[in-house]
Amino acid sequence: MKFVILLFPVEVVDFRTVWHFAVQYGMVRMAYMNYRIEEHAVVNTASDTDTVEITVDGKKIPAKKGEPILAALLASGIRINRYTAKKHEPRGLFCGIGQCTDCVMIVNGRPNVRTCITPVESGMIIKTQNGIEKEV
Amino acid sequence: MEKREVVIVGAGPAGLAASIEAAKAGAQVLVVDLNMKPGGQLFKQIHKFFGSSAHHAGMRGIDIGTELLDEAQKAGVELWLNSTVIGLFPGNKVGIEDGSKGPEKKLVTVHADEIIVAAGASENVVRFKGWTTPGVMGAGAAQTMINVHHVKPGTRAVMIGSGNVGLIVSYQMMQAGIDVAALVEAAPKIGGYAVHAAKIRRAGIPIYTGHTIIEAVPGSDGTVSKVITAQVGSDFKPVEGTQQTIDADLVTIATGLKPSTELLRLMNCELVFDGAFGGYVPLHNRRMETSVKNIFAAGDTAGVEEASTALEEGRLAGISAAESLGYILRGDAEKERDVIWARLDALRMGPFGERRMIEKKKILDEFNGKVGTPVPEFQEV
Amino acid sequence: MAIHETGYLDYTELAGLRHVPSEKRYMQGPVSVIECVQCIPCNPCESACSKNAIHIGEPITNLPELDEDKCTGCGLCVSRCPGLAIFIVNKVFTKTTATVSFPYEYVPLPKEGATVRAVDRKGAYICDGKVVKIINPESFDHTPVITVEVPAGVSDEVRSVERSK
Repeated sequence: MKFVILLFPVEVVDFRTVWHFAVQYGMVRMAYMNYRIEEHAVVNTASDTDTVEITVDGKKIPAKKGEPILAALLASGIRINRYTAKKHEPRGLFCGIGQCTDCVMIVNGRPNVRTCITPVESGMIIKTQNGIEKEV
Repeated sequence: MEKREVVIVGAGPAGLAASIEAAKAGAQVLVVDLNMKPGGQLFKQIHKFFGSSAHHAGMRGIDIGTELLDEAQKAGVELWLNSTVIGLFPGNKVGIEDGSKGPEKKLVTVHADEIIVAAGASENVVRFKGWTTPGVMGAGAAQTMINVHHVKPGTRAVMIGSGNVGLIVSYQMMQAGIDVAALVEAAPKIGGYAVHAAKIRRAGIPIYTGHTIIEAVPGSDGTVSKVITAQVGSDFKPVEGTQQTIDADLVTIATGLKPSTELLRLMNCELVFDGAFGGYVPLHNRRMETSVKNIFAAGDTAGVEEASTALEEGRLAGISAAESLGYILRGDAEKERDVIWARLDALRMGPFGERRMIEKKKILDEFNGKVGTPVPEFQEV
Repeated sequence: MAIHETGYLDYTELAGLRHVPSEKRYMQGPVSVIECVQCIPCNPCESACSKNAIHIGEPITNLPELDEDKCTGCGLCVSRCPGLAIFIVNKVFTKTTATVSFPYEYVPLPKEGATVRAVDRKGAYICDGKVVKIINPESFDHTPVITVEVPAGVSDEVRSVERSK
């Protein structure tokens, strides 16, 4: 990590500009929370499945080929899958076995896909679902 | 339309055990499961099982699942995964949304001589304020994410429910690196095994009996960030002035399971409400056959119990289905069933199993009294 | 039993409910303390013991009985109990210290020689202890057994250690 010494007077430059500059030039590593379990006493968490990339609401995130879409989202800290039609309330993982439909999202253009039981494929395009069929 | 001798709904312990028995006897068996992996609840059970060391005790659920799968494959059982049984129709027709051949699913009808419904159970909910907030989920959902997919659905949890599921999943969340801030239980006593409670207390998780969750409060991102608990009286209603706020981004609900009997209802199987088994259960005989001829039930679908009883009931159903097809002689089938029923009786002993033992007898008696002999409910169209 | 409300027993209650090793046996060296107080169908501990010191018989809901004279405190039973309810206590490890061996299914595992925070049955901190030994062979099926040295006076209370993050 390199340090940049700023010689501009404080009134001219505000912190956000400095931060943007620092991130842009890779001087500050943006660490995001990783929710994957790397080590476990009983189960073998080492995986030989390929890492693929999927896009969620325009943002690329890593995923393991074949895991449920929802697992990949949770691994990147994404816990909201859709919003309800009338009150626009957020919904996320609830039953985890394909019964409650709280986790449905639009996958490759198709709405109402149960992300807790649908396997990830490389290049999948996923969008938060708003209401019954529409995109957010 | 396709045709199979035996179609089994569900590839959990009951379904797999049934498939092995039927296939070993020579029947043509198809097992259908909506999940991407077979094994039902077994692949989430990373703890060592109780029971008799002669039958899988001391083995972890995941290892039992792997063994079962192996045996089923060796016996030549056909398995469709990512496939949902969407209905059972007159004439023993099974409607399946078949996703086993690729991402595009197809609707298929399979005619089955014998149908075994081993569809398991689904979790109950507790509707406190904010229960729909993302971060509030069934304990089973959290268990699937941590044990099968190795992903944390949160970082600090409050568990509600002190039955074995609540106790075990709390332990497994800690193993996964999730902090468990508290376990709340509305009843005055802990519902599950003392040894499960003991190991989570040793790990520092407080257990609050006579308490419940009254609200899950979302944070600025719309997901759970605080949980409010309160003491409850003997009427299970929250007591004024006993509220406590706990920082938590995960609430896991372990307040019981109810048998998934939807498919049995579609075929007009006689059901009876039995609280000991979690809700409506099918009446069945010692062959695990329901009031409708050629429709069997096994495992949690026939009453929520444990993996060990599910395995045995699955065996009963598999043997009986093969017997109905003529692959096993009645006398031989009766002998095998007697041995399995003796094992089931042993599993249902003790203070935890007694009630289920009594209720199972009631179901068998009610079947004899009300149904007697299963009849075909529908005629060929 | 208090354990139904709280999830744990204190040692006097445990000793009142069932057989625990006699003082005489404790003074002879490591011995198994089986803290299993409920009748559930379960018997792997019986077949785990190579000295036949644990008896359950039929029906398998019987509580396990320990023959303290046959028990050598080898610890095989500790990893086999699905309830993680068996411990090995050695009250004569040294003149002033004892060891407690317990099952520990978390990561990271502490290192041998490390100082750890020993806790009692309700997870409360009792004292610092030293990790004497950790056994984790394949035959234990992912249930490592940790042996911790603590002052002799708390050997009936210490049953685990605080997890490190």
